[in-house]
Amino acid sequence: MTEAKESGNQFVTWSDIPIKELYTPEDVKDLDYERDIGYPGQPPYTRGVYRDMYRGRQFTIRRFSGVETPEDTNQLYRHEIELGQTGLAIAPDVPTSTGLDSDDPRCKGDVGFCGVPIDSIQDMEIVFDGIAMDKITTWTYTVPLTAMYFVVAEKRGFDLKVIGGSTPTMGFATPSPRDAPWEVAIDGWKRESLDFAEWTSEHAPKWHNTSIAAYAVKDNGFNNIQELGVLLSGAMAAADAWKERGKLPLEVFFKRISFEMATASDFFEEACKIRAGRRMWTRICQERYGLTDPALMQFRIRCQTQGSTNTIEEPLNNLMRIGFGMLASTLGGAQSLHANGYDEALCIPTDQSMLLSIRTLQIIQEEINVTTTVDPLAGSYYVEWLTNELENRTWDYMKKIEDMGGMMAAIKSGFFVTELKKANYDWIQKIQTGERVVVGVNKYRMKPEEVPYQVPVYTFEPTARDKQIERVKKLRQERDNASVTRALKNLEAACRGDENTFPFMMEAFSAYATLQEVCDVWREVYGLNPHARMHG
Amino acid sequence: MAQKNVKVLMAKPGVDGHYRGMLVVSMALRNAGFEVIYGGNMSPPEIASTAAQEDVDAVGLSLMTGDVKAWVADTIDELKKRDKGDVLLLLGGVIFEQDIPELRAMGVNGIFTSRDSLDDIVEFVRRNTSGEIAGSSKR
Repeated sequence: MTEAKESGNQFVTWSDIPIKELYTPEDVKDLDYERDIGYPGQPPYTRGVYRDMYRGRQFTIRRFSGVETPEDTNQLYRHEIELGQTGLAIAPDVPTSTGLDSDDPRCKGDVGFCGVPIDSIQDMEIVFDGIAMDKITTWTYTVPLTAMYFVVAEKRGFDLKVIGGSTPTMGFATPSPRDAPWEVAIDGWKRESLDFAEWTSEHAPKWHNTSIAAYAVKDNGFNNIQELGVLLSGAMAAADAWKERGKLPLEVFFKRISFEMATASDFFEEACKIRAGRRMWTRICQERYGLTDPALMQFRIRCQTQGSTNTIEEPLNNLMRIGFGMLASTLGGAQSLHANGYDEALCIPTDQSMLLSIRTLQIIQEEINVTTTVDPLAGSYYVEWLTNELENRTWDYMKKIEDMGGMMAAIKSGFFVTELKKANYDWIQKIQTGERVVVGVNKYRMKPEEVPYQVPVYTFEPTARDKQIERVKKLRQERDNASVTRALKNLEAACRGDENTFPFMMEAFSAYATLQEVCDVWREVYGLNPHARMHG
Repeated sequence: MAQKNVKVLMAKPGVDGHYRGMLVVSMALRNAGFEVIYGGNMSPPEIASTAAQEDVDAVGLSLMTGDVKAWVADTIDELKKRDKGDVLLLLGGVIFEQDIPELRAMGVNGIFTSRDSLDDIVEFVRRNTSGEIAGSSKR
């Protein structure tokens, strides 16, 4: 393996960029410090979005978590906060994440696995019971879950003006590896996202209401160039959609935007892609949208270690991969981090792995002295060269998308179906042939019985799911069904008309409509996603 | 070595959204010359009726997050109802070690996790659809 690399000039990054043996001033001779790098807190923001970066504000430690039942998840969140976690992120179970209720027969064996079921505000109230929603920020996964979160916050007396958090709203503008045939058509998703962003910009001004995520495509084998290209082209598609609606000034869109990416194993490339992303976003804001206020050009980013890089073999090795990845994201200047559990190739995280996730990030923040000066990698010949190289190659990829008519047209054309299939397959091939080394998997592999340790595995409570199904059934009997019907009719009328739909969604949830009932209104009005079954 | 007549249905019972494994295995089987029907998310009755209508030789189930035993049991019941109980049944994904004996006893012929290579899976299907008796499983 090593020999092949050395003989065939196979020293490359995760994104297949050839790496030289040595970098010198010659490799960065065209770089102009003021123009291309500059100072943190100022365009082009290469060195960071804030002047003092982590000295002024540490990155948020935000695990994406949720387990079995709303009660268990409440206990988990309280425990995470006790351990020093500084933000929450709701991991819904699969039915909840796709807008299905726990008693829908399609998801019989999926309720409470891999996340928390939230069927109504009843569940959301339990999840956040006793948690200071005005003090902690929460990442709420979907617009309907955010509506429930807002309803619960208001019921508990919190002013939405002080509630902070974020929602990855603009998913319509990025390709999805998801196949779910029950998902609403893209126009419905777009309307829901834009209505939400417009409404919150006035009523919940601290919420990051315009959030673009590329985690999923990276987790499906995209390299960093493709990931960053999708992220920025998607952000442009969302901004264009906002502009086309023309209801609120473009500045409002840019004010609270945030981004999300996955962190894999190539240390320098992971750090440099964030640096490149900041510089590119600044240029997009200035040149494509003509913005002049520097505060509107900030590329704020959440990074999560890429789940699919973790291995079932020797699971503790993942702890090292996760630690190195999070260090790279820190050195790149991310605002919010999630260190996965080392055991997630085996099960959902146990208490032990949850604790280690939080401690990994606390050690980065407080022990190893990497957050005390801003952008410490800057000025390295290799780092600056690689930042440039990633930028140039990402512009090329974005040009390809632009030539297809932009991101929305590229998604509709099926381009990303082929692209994702190929990426997934090529990645597996590289591992199976040994071209990409994964320690303990395709090199230094041990037989399972030779590994001198075992790790605990999360075990599910078998009756948890039944209790959840009972709860939603009971709710349907006990609530005031006339007001639920009325609220859903009002939501439907808003969906068919011109009014902002988001307050109607909140009203429906206030009346104890379930998640699926609300999502069914959208499915009814906009139809189902014709691009589903993309891999078929 | 292509076996053009061997048909495999690949499906994910329930609503789980982790497609990578199923996608990559489907591509490997296709590249090996098998005819693959990619079903995506399907309910157990849908899996069984598709398996019967298409008269497939093998069914591959991919499960990463859900109640694996419950989904497998339901799928096997539905297959039996449609006289497809003898189909070669493969299961892949995140499968707990301690569940494997029970899953085998239920009638799953081959169980594969990320420890196994694509070649192992292709070879398993090839071996067990070439006239030999299905049921000799690798792990």
